[in-house]
Amino acid sequence: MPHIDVLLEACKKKEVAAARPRLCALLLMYKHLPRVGVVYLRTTAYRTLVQKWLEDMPGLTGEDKRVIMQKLMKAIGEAVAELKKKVGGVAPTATLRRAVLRLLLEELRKPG
Amino acid sequence: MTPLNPARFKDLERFLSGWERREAPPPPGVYVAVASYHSKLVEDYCVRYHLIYLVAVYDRDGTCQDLYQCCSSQPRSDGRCFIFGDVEWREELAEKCRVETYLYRFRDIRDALKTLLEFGMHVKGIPCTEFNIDVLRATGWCDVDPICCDVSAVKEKIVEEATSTYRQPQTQPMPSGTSDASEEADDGCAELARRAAEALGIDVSRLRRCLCRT
Repeated sequence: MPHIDVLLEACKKKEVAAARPRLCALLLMYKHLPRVGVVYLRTTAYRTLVQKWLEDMPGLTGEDKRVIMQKLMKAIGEAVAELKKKVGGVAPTATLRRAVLRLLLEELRKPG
Repeated sequence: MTPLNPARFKDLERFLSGWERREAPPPPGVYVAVASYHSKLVEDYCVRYHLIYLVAVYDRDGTCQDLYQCCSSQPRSDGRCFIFGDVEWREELAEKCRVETYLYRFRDIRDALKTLLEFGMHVKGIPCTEFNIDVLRATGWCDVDPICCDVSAVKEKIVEEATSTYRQPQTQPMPSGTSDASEEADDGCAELARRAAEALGIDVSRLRRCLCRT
């Protein structure tokens, strides 16, 4: 998705990450999917990624980090469950990219 | 793009009725969507399915007798033949894959592009952002679904809404006897109120006042 970085930048604001965790979670997932190969869909695979993401976010207190981490991981868990239904537990990365992209577009079309 | 999910036969049949079918690779032309290539995936796909290419030939005055030949003889920059395919065609694929090319004549360039867009999105299920931005613009799709082309307006809206939602509870006056210290002490209740407010879509601070006051 060509605009992914613009949206990810918005998710660096704690207000956005807290208010739109599903959008930010999907963006993170999409951004960090490998280019080729096969992906095993597991929520825990994204934990370290989210932790690093939060470390880079400016002006977060410990409590902010805890709350946003919880929200993002919950959103990732839900997205993983939906994707498993659509593409199975193990999917070629290209199939998964497309499925995540569809969820992402649906999320962007939703009113806040 | 990489072939991932073959289209349903019924959808293909319905969509391609009237198109000229050739058992040949696509002629030279402009691909309307991202056409990346992963040889392993293509090989796996070709074991089970044919590669399918749709070629929309723009022939305004109807001078083209043989559509395939017209595309083959025109230079690429001519912008006459537009292709939607499972994967960008390469010579090496001829040994591994069976290929079908469908051609159709269009008097209007916009109709040609629109038809390929429709096939990609509705029959093959390709997200709109994978299409060439110029194709999206030319077909007017950017006006139909702006997210496909530019998310800056959406981004601004998201940031604005999130910021105002975040500030709202903080700007409301605290009731007497309630302080940050008491909130911290009663963290469980505050958290419960927050979750309930989220689920019900109501004001968290008001709910907290009702639930958490001792």
